[in-house]
Amino acid sequence: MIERIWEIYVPTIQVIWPSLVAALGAAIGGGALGVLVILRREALLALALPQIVVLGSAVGLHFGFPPLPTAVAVTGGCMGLIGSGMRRESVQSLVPSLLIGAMCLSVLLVANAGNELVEVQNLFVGVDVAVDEVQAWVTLAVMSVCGLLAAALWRRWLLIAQSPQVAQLAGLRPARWQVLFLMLLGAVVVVGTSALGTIMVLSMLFLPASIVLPWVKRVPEAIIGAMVIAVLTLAGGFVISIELHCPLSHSVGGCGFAILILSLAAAAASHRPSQITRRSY
Amino acid sequence: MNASAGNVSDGTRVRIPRAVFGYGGRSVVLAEDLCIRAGAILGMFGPNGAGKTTLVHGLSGLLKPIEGTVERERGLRFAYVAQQRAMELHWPMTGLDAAGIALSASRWFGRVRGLRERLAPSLRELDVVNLLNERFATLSGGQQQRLMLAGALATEPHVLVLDEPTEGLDVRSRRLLLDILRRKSAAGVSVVLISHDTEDLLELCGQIAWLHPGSDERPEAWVECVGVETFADRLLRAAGHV
Repeated sequence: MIERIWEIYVPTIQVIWPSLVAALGAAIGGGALGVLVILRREALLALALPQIVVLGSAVGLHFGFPPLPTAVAVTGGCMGLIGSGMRRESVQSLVPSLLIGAMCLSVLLVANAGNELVEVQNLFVGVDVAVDEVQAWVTLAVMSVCGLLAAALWRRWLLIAQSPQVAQLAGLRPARWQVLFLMLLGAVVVVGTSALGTIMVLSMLFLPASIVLPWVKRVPEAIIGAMVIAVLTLAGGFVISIELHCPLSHSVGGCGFAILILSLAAAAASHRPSQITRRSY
Repeated sequence: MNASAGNVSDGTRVRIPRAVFGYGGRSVVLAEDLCIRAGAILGMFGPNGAGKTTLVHGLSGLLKPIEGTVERERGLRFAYVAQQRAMELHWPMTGLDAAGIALSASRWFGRVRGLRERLAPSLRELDVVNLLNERFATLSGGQQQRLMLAGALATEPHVLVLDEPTEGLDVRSRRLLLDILRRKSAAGVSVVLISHDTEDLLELCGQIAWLHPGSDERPEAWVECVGVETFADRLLRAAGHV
């Protein structure tokens, strides 16, 4: 066992450590922010954003612009559109339309362009060896700051989602805080997708939060629990990726989903209220 | 002239001689001769979409009038208790979290020194101290409503706005809630009660702000302020009993 660790695991870590550092950032930021995304019922938006980031990169690749700044610009534009849609309450149709539109256009734009198509596909899946040192530390820093902000300000974002009037009377400006939340989510998704791919980002956003929510009594417990579960899922996913010779992001997502099924089954067996089956869902 | 403050007297907390409220230049509701007095309970009655929320925003200063004037006592504090059905029951929260969310949300990082102590008087008054560590979602509608009310009262408001507070409550919980509102009113807190339940309005309110929907000639809704006897009389006529 120890021999195997020295022969296989340690050399692998030496090669893909930047990817693991970036994924640790995704675990911290995605875990914390994911709890708020689910509680605020913004899961569809969080699903759409990584596809929009990929679309932005595809636009950059197609027109010869740098992919990351183009992705930031396109994501910012779409979030502005979604923000204005929220005021007009047309967001219910806008977000799913953006999701499917971005998925299709990102491939259509680079169709028949071999290298660009591979790059776009890599943004979906992530490439474990393609994360460089700088990108790893930047991802860790950005994700950690976003996660900590989400953890510290959870009351505001939940109050604004539940009752904007109460929030306003408490002296908050709901529109500004809503924009700030979208910016945090956007930052996590843009930085995470460009480093690790959409599968890893979405896995870290949704799965740890869904795993812990049936088991906690308070939001801070959910946020800390989701971060811990996300890190454990990353560790489990790393082992699976080595043993099954498959990409880290798929392994983390599969591991997280398996834990989610176990968590929901255990919650059902112990008659705990599941977030998925509550009447409000 | 728009909203002005500090120029009301004689126990009047908010007075609207005439004001139109709306969004983006579009008029939603016109209010005339409407006032909230200290210790009074003002009912707000009208069909869905007539502009009750817009009017409450206008009264509390969250929305400036498109035209006209709102006079408000200086330093007036409003508290708002949302409809019970608007509460997010899937959130993992204890009774303390739910009661203290408005109080702590306005603080950076949500920390309120001595949150329990600040909530304690209103929690005792509403008999919900024993619910602080319970899961909010597992409590009855009446208990949830009382916890949210305790949280609102802990902000020491001058005007308390309640949106359909008795909706879905059993007889005992409803009675308890109305008694509490009566006591707060006697203690000088002004209460604005938004309700479709005419029984609550007739039992509790001195005046009713009746919102009538707009028409082709008059697109915005308008508010008629009537005494409770007139309100009862009109309801009976509408029901064909007179």
